[in-house]
Amino acid sequence: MNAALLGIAAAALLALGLGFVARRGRQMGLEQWTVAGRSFGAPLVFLLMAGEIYTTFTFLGGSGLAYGRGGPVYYILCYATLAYVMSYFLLPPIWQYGKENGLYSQPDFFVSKYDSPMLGVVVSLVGIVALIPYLVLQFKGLGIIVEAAGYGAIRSTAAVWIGAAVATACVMVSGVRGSAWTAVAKDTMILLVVVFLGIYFPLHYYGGLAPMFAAIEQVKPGFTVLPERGESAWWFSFTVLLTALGFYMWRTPSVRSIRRATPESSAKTPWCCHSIN
Amino acid sequence: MPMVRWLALLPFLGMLVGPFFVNRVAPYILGMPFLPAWFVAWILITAAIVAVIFRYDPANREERE
Repeated sequence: MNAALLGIAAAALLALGLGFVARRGRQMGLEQWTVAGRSFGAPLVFLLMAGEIYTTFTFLGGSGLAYGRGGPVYYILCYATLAYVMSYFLLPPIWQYGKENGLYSQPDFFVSKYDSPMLGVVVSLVGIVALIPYLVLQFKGLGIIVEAAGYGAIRSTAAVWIGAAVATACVMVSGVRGSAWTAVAKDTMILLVVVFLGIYFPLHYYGGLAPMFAAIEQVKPGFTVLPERGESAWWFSFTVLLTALGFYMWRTPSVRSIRRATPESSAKTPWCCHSIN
Repeated sequence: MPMVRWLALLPFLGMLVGPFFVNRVAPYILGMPFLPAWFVAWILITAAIVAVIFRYDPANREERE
């Protein structure tokens, strides 16, 4: 039993505990389960919207891309920013429509808006099919991280099963509230780790950010900018545009939009909509 | 469309068109090469722009009444 294992176990238990506590004092009707009675406040919705982009990709894909390819990795910073700008125009009307029509899910929206139950079925199927590779990737990443962080004490496969069981239990018991509160724990931890490492590594190994970038420039000139060919400015521009447009394509043109319920407070609340993946 | 909403085009210009002109390492800003510093600056500017749009968009005012 090493310290890393204790940390991993504590994180898993915290997630499980929060997931179960989240439903306390609520009658779990369908509206509570899917959209939390449309009553999440602005800070929680902010945390969820900001936090849903922090996944295993943050630790594996993002850092791997930065290490392997250099400059092109900046596309991550840009596409998310632009997608959030679009959400200002996209999400409030969807939220409004969903609230007026008492909708719960993304397929509901298409059924109601286009008056076509078939379209709802198609959207559901596409959503599920799109979700499978996404989940496989996320769980695969989770397994790799746990196995590496626990020095091999927990096999990747076991980690995947435990992770899937915890996630399923939280969602079944508490619905979107379970996702929300485990997300709060996840986002806080990821943010702490990322900020700590981002400051600590350059300081510890190079004595600061500037010396680190200077050292990179010396070994690999031009590595921190876009190359002339291949992943060039043209590649960058179109990739950012494409991924920004795709940001809400499958996960959020959804009416699981959540916002304060009372009219007085909603005027002061920023546009807030969210879907759990 | 309310005029103030057109401000939302600026982040797209900064991030999609900007890289063609600022794809360079020097000068370093706050320890960062120029290109990443440019993006970080635009992330902050974008937040400010959205705040301004939210504040002055008539759509949000109507709802208050």
